[in-house]
Amino acid sequence: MSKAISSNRRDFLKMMGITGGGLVLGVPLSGCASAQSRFPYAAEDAWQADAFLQVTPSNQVRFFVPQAEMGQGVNMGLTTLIAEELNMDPATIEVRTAGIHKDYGVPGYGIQVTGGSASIRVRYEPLRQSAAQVRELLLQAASLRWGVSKNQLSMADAKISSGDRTEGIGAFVVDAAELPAPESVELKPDSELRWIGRDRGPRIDALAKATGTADFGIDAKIPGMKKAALLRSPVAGGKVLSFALNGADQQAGVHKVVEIFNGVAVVAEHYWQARKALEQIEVKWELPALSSVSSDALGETMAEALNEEGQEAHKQGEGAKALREAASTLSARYEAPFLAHATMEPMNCTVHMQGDRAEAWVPTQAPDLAGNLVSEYGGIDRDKVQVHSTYLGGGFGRRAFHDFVAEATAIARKVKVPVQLTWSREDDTRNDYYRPAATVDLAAGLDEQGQLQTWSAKRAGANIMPYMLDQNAGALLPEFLPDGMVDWVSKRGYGLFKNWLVDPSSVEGLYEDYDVPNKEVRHVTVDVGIRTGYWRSVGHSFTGFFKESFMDELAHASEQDPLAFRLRHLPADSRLRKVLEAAAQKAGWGQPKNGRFLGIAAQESFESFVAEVAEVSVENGQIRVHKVTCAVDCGKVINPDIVRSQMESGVNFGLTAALYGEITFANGEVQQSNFHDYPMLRMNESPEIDVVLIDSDEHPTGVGEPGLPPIAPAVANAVFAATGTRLRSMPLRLS
Amino acid sequence: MIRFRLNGETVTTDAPADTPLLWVIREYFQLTGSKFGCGKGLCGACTMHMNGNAVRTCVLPVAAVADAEITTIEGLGQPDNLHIVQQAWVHHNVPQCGYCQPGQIMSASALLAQNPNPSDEDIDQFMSGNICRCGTYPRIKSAIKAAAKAQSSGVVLFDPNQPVSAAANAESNAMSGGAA
Repeated sequence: MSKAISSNRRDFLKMMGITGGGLVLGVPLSGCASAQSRFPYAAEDAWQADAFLQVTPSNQVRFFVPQAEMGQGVNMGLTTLIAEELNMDPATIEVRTAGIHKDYGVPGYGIQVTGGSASIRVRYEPLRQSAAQVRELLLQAASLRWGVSKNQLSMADAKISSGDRTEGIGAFVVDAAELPAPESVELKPDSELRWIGRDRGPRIDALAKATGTADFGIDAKIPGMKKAALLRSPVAGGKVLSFALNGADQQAGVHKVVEIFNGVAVVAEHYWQARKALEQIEVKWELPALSSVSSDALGETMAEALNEEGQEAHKQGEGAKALREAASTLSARYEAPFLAHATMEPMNCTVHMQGDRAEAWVPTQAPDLAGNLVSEYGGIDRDKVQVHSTYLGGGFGRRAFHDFVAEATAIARKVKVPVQLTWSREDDTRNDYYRPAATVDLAAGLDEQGQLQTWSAKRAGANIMPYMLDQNAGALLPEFLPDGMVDWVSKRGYGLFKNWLVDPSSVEGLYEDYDVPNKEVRHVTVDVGIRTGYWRSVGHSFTGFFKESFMDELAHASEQDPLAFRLRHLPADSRLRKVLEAAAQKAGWGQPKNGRFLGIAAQESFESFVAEVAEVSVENGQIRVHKVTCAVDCGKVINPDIVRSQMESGVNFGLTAALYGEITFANGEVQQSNFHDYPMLRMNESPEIDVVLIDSDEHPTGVGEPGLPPIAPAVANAVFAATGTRLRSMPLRLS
Repeated sequence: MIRFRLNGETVTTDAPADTPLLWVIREYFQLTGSKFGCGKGLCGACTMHMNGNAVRTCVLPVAAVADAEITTIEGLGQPDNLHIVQQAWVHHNVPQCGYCQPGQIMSASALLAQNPNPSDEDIDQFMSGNICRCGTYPRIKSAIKAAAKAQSSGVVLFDPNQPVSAAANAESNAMSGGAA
């Protein structure tokens, strides 16, 4: 098998199925309900129609949200779907975050993961159907009890009415529980929607988050819990050879000092005690091969790799060969650095081992992957692990990786009391799964009319999937597989992705958006052992910059307007065309204010379409972004204000990367540590952001990531308009 | 033993004198609304009021607050008795992940106490010590302006005891005379 698979990372389980010899890796969400007791969270006081919904005799609806709320508004979004079919205010539904159960697996993925801007896209119909089924069963129960036909009944605001008769839905739950599930249910017609597509109140987690009452992982309060801090190797992956306590274990409040697989932990009554005692410990480390890696040399390694032929990731028409027939050609090399996620809530995990079972409180994007590591590092059967998912103080992909869960479990296993491990900001910055650095050679051929005929791209850099598999092969592959097989698939063993498969997330977004008859994308893996991970918008976080900057170069080289040049490579009914036109119009494309310069860029990612226009000025070599106009087509909009806020968020997150973001290595050590040397965009640098929502009847898609990819190229293109200098490397620096 | 006032009550703690106030409040008093973000006074997630001023408590030894008046997010307002800044935060849908927001709100409320009608530049200057990784800055700015206006006119921006749609309608009517 040598042909690359061009698809999204959400297909990775499917791909695992192929590469693992057709193994069935997960059980898809089952639509067939059997006995009530098989559902998680079965409550004696409530009727439960499926894993998601309960209704109590006192008219309370409970919704178990199967996705992680990390700021993207998924609690509001998914509760809106439930509320719509039950015809009640989302704010009156009791929302709980679901733990691990196979019924919560993402449809089509098998595992329970929040990522790929997928929640709305994959849950829109299934959750509406769940709620519609509950509604129909309640109505049927009322119909039988009152002896009236169902079409004479109405249900609204947790009440059922017929004529002047009204009762709370709770009165019918006992009867409804006995009824067989209907073969099929009808969803509300669009004309009757009350909540979808409208802003009728604040997001349902706003009050808790404005009052400090929202509980994050770091806020877990378990009776008898101790606090842990961990000393790790200065180079990730190093091992403890020996260590000197220097009295650390004699410090006030210190309960125990324990060695685990990757370091030495102090467990104390209070976190500050643990931190202070940790400073006294000296460790001799066995450093991994990574300790010979420095960023300066890495640039050369990448350049050399691009001399290799690489593997084919995509080809259409004649491929790069067609460059020879072009009237004119242009080529350029672009670069993007490693990036840390820097979630505001540092990594943390609380574990309570109780004999043959364990409980963990984890801010996680994938509770079943977290649970599997508790099982693996705690020596506990998978089905004896309970994971309590909390609010996430930011995720952005970082919390799809669970090294901190493995650490907390290893510590808890040794001390036999409930333990919370909390990372310092320095731990967090230096032990990330980094957005992989990438270097790309782009080349394009134009005909005499300035139309693109050929698009060629070769990317060098690391892939993410081996690191995902390395940590999670145990969870993703069935328990009965021998360890050797698991190792073979993971990075621990053979190195599946090194030579014969291109990780889709390494090249996604590099070539898809524009109509060009000949395209070729190749890939050269350069993996020096730096852990890489999913970082908000994944491959698009760098390919958007590469592709859209190069499109701007091509427009200028062929003396065409950058907007018009893009539009001539998009069909008339293209959704990307529509957002480009909308953003350009709203931003006043072609008429910049005095001293301001405009740059435009667009990218499809995760099946949503976003275009952005950046209004920039440059003074004394300083780039200042004043305003960003953003147009988004994410299909049918569920919560307009959440879409707007996610575009704002994607823009500002992307601006931090565009203007500042860079993680570098010296002898394998990360050179950044905290917000003074890994700075974040702040209030005084945040632009005005104007968001245009495209009215669309297409299937709803996600918005957590797609606002990000266009911002860096929009700014770089505006900087070119202002200065004539083309910035081909992130972060964008003029001097 | 260190004595100070915490959210209006006199309290004492036997925490070691060099323990940062943040950890004393979070672990000894179990008030976890204030967050740990950086441990270096760089991000503002730990912001509380000390005698009415916004302070970064992850670098403030508890010994330094002896006899001082400390207010945390829990003391600023509660879900059924919101401070005007908290009302504005809910009404403007400011929080995303929400982790930095208690610190943002403590900074914003300290700003408004000192400067009831801050300009954009005042807000930029005062709020730039608080990082929001979700990038909610445009909404923070709008919410601070709305809170300033509501504070002077006595308007309720959000009442959790009213149905949300009614509260939203009432507010948008009340605010409709103002500039966007």
